[in-house]
Amino acid sequence: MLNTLPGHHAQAGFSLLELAIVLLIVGLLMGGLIMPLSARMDQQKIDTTRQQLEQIRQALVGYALARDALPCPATPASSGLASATATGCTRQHGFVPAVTLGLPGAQNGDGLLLDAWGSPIRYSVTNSDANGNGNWDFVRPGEMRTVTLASLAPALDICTTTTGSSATACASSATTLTSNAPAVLLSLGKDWATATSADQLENLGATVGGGPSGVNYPVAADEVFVNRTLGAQAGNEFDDIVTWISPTTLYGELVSAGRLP
Amino acid sequence: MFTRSHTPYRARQRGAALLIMLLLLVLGGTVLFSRSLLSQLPGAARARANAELLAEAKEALLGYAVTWDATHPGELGFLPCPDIDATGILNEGEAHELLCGLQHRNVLGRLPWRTLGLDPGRTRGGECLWYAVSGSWKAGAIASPALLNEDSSGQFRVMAADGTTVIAGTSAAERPVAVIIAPGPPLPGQVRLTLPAGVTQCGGSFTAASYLDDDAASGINNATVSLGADAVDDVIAADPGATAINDQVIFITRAEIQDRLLRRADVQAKLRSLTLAAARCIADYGKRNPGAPNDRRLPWPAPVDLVEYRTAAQYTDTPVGELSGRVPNVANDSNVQTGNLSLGVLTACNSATVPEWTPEMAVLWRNWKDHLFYAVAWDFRPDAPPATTCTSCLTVNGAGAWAAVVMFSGTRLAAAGQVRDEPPMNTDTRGNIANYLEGRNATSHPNTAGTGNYESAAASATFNDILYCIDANLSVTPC
Repeated sequence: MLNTLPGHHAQAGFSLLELAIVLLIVGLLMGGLIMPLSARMDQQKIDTTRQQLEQIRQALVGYALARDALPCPATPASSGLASATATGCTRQHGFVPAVTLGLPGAQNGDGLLLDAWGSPIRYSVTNSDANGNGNWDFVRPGEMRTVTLASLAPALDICTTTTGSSATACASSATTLTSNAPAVLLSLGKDWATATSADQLENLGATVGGGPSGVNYPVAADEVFVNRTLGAQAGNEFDDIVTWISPTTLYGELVSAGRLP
Repeated sequence: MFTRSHTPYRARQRGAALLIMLLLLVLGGTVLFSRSLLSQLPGAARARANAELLAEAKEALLGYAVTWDATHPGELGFLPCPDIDATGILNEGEAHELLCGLQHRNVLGRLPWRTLGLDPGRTRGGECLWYAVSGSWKAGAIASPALLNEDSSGQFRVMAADGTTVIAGTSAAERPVAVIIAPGPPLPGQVRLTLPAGVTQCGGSFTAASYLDDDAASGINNATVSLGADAVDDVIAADPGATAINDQVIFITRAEIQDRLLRRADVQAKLRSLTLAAARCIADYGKRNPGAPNDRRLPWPAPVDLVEYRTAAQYTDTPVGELSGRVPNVANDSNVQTGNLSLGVLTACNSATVPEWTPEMAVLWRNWKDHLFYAVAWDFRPDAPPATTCTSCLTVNGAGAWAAVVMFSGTRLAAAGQVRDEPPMNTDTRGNIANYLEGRNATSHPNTAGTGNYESAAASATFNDILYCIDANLSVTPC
């Protein structure tokens, strides 16, 4: 756009060499910028999902304070509502009952709350019944009080590895992060459609369908979950994000609210 | 729009070099700026993330304190010991009840996240949290305090980054009972090596000095606690984003635990039951006199002013010439006059003869013993003639004829100006009965004539004593 007036010398322009050098430099710089950006976007999604799980955890505790029990998990057929039965839940392992909890966030066609990668966030609740009366202690209103603090025994396990674990316990106390979680929240992470490591397969579990969309979703198959450092090492990948409700915190809040003992 | 120069030099100007330079500068600057933005979080964001982590740990600790007695009846409000190491019989993140320092001494270690049922929760710097608990509030298997109740002072003071401004702990009542510390990035000299076995979750070591900061200017070292009993330790809290001292601190006060505990309806009922059980045990002493049932004399009270309020052996019936004082645990002097072979009042009480005196009540008494008071009537004092009827006796609200009154003081009332600090950390305010009892219950002391008129009323801002009376037949009733 320079030198367009008559009487000036004609613009010589850039030589091919000049252009090549400039493009090379620009390319290198852009590359340097984009690489950390993609890693940053992954991290951003992890952070977003962690915050989401934290928000759900607080909503669950809030629900327990207001309703005297934790909500049941949603199923693909329950449109995001907690799916309870007369004594417990339709499913022990299901999804976050986002509609019941009034949580914001994207939902899929089956009303299931989605994480940052678009897969439903899963929610499991303990089915412990310490006094053997058939009622699940943590989901039937008032049952925690009936059972009493000293007897309550929530039984979801979080292990640091699936190696040696059974359907109800981790391999040893050293690999047990907690053996008495009342509820567990889990996002399958970035590669939610594929799971290659044993630890991820443990969390992937079985499948459940029955929703209007006809999709079958992976859902926990037993009371053992794995939570460990995220890693991408081939054969030992782990990208699941797991959080749980501490029984101590839950009891403390319920005591403060006069719900216990 | 710009106007163009028509100078002859303009013809030779190609103009590209400047543009390219500008482009390079802008791009280079963007890359450097973005990289710095991406690689490290600003201090404020780190502080906020750590604050959430600390708050979560605090909620769990409060939950632990208010539910501890579900598994340890009679122990209200105990806090867990820290995680001291992972090489012994315990796993990383577990509270070390057996290795928890000596009695009444502060302990520092890592947060017992596994015991609390928490995630090992890392700070934004990738470190697990540290935790220090007051010797007066720790639930050690062999190091539990001899008395822990709503009046037990914490043994910490939290100071601002300047090392002189007190954030918490200006008075004994406000002293934190526990502190949770999020270590910042390592300072010069803080080498964080993974040395001990068994540290698989948090990494690093249990060497506090590698994580927690020592402020040379103020002399406050967050990495150490005093070795002496009842010592008060200062903890310095960094300003958000600070680089020199970077320990982020949150604390727990006794009021926070007590507020939650007293919201439990069953706690008030338990303390009432303790008063009833203590009254029954005193009546039971009268039933064990050699001349019983025609000799129903009761023991002397223990003094109000004790050398050490936490020690059970101090609650001894001493004939101080007063007919009111604390509920006696041991009967040394009453026996001389009554001929009662029993050397104990509460120590000799058992659930076979007094069903209310359960093991839980015995533990509850150990922790709340300074709250119980007792007055005996002239006719039922140990050096009176053996009595079965009341002539010179006690009254409540001017009515009745009671052989004895047992009183539980309830929570200290700010409206009544009550403070209950104790030596050696503070001056002795527990030796004054008015810091416990209200109205005529306090003014009737020392009940020299043995005919005191005591007071009973509904709980209010200025009165909260709970009374049980023993009649001439040694029956116990609320009064």
